[in-house]
Amino acid sequence: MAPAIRALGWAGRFLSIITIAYLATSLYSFTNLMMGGGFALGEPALDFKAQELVISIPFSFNNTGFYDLTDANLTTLIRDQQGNILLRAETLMDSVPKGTRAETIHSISLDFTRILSGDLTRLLINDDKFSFNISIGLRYALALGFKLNLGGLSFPWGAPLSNFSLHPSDVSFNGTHYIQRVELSFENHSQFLPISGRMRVAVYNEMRQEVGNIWVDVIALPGTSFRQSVEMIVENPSLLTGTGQIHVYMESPLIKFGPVVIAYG
Amino acid sequence: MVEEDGTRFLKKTIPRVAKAALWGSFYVLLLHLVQKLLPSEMMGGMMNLVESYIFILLFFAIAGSLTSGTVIEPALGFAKGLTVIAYTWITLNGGLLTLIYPAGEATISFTIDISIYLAMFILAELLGAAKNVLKAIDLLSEHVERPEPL
Repeated sequence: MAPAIRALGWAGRFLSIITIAYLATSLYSFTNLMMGGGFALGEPALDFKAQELVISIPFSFNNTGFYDLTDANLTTLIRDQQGNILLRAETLMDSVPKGTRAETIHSISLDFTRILSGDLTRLLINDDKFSFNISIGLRYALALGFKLNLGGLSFPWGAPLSNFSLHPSDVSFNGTHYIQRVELSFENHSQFLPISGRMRVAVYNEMRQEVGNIWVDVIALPGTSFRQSVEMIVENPSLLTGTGQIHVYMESPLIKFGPVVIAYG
Repeated sequence: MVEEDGTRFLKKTIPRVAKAALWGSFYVLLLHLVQKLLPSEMMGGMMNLVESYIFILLFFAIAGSLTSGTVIEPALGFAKGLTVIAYTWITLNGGLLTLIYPAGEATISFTIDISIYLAMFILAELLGAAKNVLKAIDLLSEHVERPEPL
């Protein structure tokens, strides 16, 4: 039995030495790699395409260490204050063998059609605060997993149709139609999104019956207000109850959304 | 007869005590070096874990040396293997270590996954535990063949 005991003892010792040496060299090499500029993030570039904002961040790994670098990834996540995910972008780099350099571009595409549709249309009328999270993950020497997460960064979101309101005045009759004169106003709190194009405003009473609708040409650059008095044809003045909903639709070469539902009365 | 027994006892005990003293000195020196080379400001809460780990090794090294040649030695070796496995697994959170640094409104977190190294380490400890089981069986079988006090 003695040879078996000795063999097990040596196997255990050998494995311990291998483990310690493997851990020590991979940690040492990885630390040197990170401290010595092995990972670099470039200058972000902004590109405003039709209905989307594309942010491109170049990043590179220069593997001067002892082992291969695998499964490198850069992930960006943007959430609103309620925790809804507005954007998730992930860029993967399968392998960076030792002694080589690899670079790629991390593209973050902020699609306004997606943001300004569905239950997120409230972002058009309410200012918010977006939280930004960026993480870098990789595996070094096939065994050492590493993840750096930078979270809790926030930036304000300015609603492009902030304080949207319709102020109706008395209904008049021009001989053929009943005319409702309304004053339409909003403030564009956005830092970069211009509101320019044709806006359709449909007014409903609390019974969900359409009172009338109008098309208005609007232009409100970032940080400006819009105020205009318009006339809306009302087919049936008895439908005017003073309460209900306003449905706002927007059509422009840059952006298209709707309906944004706003209660009134 | 009494003198012979005393000499035999001393012959058995002195090397065990000397071995225990050597192992004790080694681990005390290791603890001192760790405290000196790795400043507690840098290690944070990890320092207590490292110190506790060295104390566990110190205890089992001294106890194992004092009981050297008896069946208690492999039993302690086996217990040491299991203790070290449980301790490292619990303290290293299964190999997933996370450090969180608040930086104003933001937070920076580092996660290091050393689960593969931990698995290798556990395997090495299990080999040691298996060796101790075999050693205990060997000692017991020797005792059956040639009865003498365990």
